[in-house]
Amino acid sequence: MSTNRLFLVIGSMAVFLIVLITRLVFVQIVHASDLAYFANKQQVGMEPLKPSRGSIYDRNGTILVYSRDEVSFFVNPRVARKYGKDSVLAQKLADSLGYNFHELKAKIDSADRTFCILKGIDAKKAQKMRRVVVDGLEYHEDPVRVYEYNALASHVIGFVNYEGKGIEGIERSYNDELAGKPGSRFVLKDGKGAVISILEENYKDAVPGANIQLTIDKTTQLLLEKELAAGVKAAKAISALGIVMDPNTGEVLALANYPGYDPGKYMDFSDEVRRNKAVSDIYDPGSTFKGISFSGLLDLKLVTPQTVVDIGNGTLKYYGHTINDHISLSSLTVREVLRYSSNIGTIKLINRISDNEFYKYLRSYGFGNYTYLGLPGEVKGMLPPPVKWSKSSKGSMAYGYGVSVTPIQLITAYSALVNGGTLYKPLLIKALTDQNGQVIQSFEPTKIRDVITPETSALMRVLLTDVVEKGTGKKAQVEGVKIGGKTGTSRRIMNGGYTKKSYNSSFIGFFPADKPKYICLILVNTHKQTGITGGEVAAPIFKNVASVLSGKKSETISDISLVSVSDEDDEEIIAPEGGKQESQTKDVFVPVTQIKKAASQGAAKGIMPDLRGTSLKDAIGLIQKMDLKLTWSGTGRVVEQSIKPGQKPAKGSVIELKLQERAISGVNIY
Amino acid sequence: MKISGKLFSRFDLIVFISVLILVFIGLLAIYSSTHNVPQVRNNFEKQIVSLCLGLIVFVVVYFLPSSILRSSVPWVYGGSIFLLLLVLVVGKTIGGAKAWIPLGIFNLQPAEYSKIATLMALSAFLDEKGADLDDIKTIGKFLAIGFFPVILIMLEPDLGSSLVYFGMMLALLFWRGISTFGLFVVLAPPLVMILSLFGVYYTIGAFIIVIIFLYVFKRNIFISIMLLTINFSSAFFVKYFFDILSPHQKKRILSFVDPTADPLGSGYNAIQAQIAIGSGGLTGKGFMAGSQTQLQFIPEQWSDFIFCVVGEEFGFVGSILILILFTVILLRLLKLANELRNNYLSLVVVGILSIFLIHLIINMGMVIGIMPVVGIPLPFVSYGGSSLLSNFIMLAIVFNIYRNRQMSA
Repeated sequence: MSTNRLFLVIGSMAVFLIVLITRLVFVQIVHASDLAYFANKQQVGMEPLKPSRGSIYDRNGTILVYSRDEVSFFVNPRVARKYGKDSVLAQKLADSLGYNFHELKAKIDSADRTFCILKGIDAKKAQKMRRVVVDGLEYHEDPVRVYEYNALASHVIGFVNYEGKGIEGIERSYNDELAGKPGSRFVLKDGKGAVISILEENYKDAVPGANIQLTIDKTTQLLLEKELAAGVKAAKAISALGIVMDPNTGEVLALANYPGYDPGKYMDFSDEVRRNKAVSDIYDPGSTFKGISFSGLLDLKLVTPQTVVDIGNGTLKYYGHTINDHISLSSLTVREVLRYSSNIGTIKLINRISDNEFYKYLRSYGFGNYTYLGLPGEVKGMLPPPVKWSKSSKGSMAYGYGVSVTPIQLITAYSALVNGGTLYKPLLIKALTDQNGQVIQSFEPTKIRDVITPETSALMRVLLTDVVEKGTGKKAQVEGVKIGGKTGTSRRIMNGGYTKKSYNSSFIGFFPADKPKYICLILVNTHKQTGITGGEVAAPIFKNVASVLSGKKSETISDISLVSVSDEDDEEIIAPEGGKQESQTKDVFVPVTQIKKAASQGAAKGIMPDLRGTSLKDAIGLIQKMDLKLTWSGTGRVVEQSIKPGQKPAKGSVIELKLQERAISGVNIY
Repeated sequence: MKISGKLFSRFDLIVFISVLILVFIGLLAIYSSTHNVPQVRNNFEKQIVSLCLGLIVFVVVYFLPSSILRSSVPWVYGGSIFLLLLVLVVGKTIGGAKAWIPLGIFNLQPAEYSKIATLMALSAFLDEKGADLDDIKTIGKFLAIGFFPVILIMLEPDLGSSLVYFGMMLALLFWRGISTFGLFVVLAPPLVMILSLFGVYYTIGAFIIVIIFLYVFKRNIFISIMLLTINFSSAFFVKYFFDILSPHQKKRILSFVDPTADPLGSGYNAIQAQIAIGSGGLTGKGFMAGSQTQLQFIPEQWSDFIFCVVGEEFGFVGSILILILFTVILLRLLKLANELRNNYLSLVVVGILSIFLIHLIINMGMVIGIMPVVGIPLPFVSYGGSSLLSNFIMLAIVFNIYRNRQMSA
């Protein structure tokens, strides 16, 4: 062999080796950090951890709204094909869901991307489907908002959109508090994109949203809604709204619009129906406003209940308007002006107070300003200042025209009128609590100002009691209960002017009249053809509400409380321990409904239910009635409880729960 | 010392230890890449079994009388052709290629053994009297012996193995002392083929170069035209051949041109392999700690892409160690081939050297992104019984020749 050829061979070998080494230097040294970055980027993924949204309770701790996970199933066609499970999967899905096998198989064989096969499915199918463990079938849980009593207090509670964001009501105005803070965790993903493990570092747990305890009382709310519906039907009216308040604190006990809507199906209802007219709509209050006007006169001692006013047989020419009263007497006392709701008497007497003084009272009562109740969409109403008044303004405002108020403003002002003269900020939220039920923030009644003296307030209570006992409010009477109140009827503003076709018929009343515990405003939109006056239409609704609230008629409440939670929707199947087992063993599933049903029956008798496998929220719900103190550690599902199932713990004892995340929730492990 | 000195003059300990280190690194890498993949978890054990088998075969071949290496050529070559025909009939298809004969506990890959057989046949042919490399007939016969198995292998189709044959044939001709013109005759068609893969302009460029060379060599017009025709037709053959390639091989060749064009498809392996090796850095992530490997970003990493595991877990240091070990082996083989007086045996050693070298270049080249992704294992390191066994057979042949060589006093 010639030496030349040998060197040529060695030389070419050297060239090859140098090329390889050069490339290796580039890949492993020069570009090492870039490539390490790419490796990390594709191997480590951040998964957001969704916080659970807070629940909404009524004032007594009855749960009204909560969030629950619903299961959706997906087919990952690439994985199914890779493991040759396409026909098995298609067959199983066809069997359990009734799809056409051939169409499904064709789809699995041709699709590139994961597609949803079942979205937010019902209980029985979830049970069956979770037992189908085939490569390529995946599922995950989506939180859905459950409105336990459907339409109950819908205008207070509001609703969330498909992203779980509050759009109306408390859901909107307290969205940030309810939503909580999302967390995040890092996961290791393999070449197929499947999650292999959860990394411990940088684990940021989601902070669950706060629960909200409303001042609303579920029973009162149900009562009000029922009576509004019945009243609208009886009077053949258009719509109605009502507010029940504690006049001494400003706490709203019930607030309803009829017709209501189901927040869980908010898409099916128009904006008109979903609007909370108690805070978003203004109206001319009509004669109910006379109570406000006279309180000013009495407070400044410009009149006494016995002051006599000439009403000229019921007709008055007033700056070009002719005012008619339906009473043809020559004179009335102040007491009678209110009792019979005389517009002429009111006009004549209101001239005794100066424009500014009158305006000051109205401002003091809160008219023309937000009440800051805490519901979205609240409006200020319209209270023009004296400089903008015409000569007839003060007179007409005195009987509730030319001033626009929201129902919540009126009842807030009336609370001050009858509670001794103090204006309170209306209160809708009692407290924000954490997942443990511990109070994060509580809301106390807020006194805004003293509007009138306690003496004036007492006088007003007497005069308004007279209205119900002898005057226009007779239909509000409840046997054995002293009730005060005022009727009001005003034309509705339509197309920019007052209409004669439709009326605001209202009644605002309080009881017991000497020391009011409840104040209630009923406002009905009526047609001309049927009854229109507040005394005819609204007062009877008030009467029905008052008779139950005052305890004179109790059976109604027990009827109402029959509306209860259906457990059927709740059925959900979970593995008692660890997601990993789901793909290995098949019959370890226990329907949560069964746990829950048995548990709640036991809990009612003071027996500790088996909480294992339930979420923290469910566990809290289950032992709510047992009067226990709860502490817990971890996140996820309950795996251990310090008080064993079947035991009867003493009241006030402490139960500790240990929670654990299911290893990899909702991801198949291949 | 004298005895051992004598023993090691008949046994190349340096090469043997280098090979054992390579096999050991391979076993580590196979274990690391398969231990959490349920379907192939026993690959490590299988490879150890293959290793034992390989060592037994090594011992047997090592002690064979040296004359058998020459006398058995017709049988060996004939047998390998038979197996290549058989695999086309009863073969088992894995990864798109019908390249395995199922033998119960393991699958036999005839292309691995026919490499050796063809090498021996070609060496014997070149050593015959009257083999004149300046005679186009001799070259024709040589190519016929070499290409017959290649055609059968391409029918499987197994592109990677075919490339090894080209390289090996080239090495034998070169070692036998082919003239520059002869080298041109043999080398031009495959180069034209490869260039024509890249498109029309490359093809035209290749033709122009061929014509320039033909003009420089100034052979008679008949031969020139014939050579030109051969080169033309080989370009068209590529086009035809490309059409009959299986989709996965087509994609692999196309993805070599631009691996990022389809990062989740055909270019996936190339990109993931580079990410694995690159992220290993200088010293690697440690045994069983290569995230790219452990998370199975590279499919079937234990076979052709085994070098990724080494590169990721043992870093640049590990990669270079592999290269050093191969360099030692190759240089020792070259030294042996150079010292041998016997033309045939020298050619066999050079052929084996070239087979190892081509495997090394193509395998490492594809893993680090300078070669198309063609399925070809890294000798002694990759998982695969047939490959390991045939490598030990070749090693044993070299050691047999080493044992029986006449030492220049």
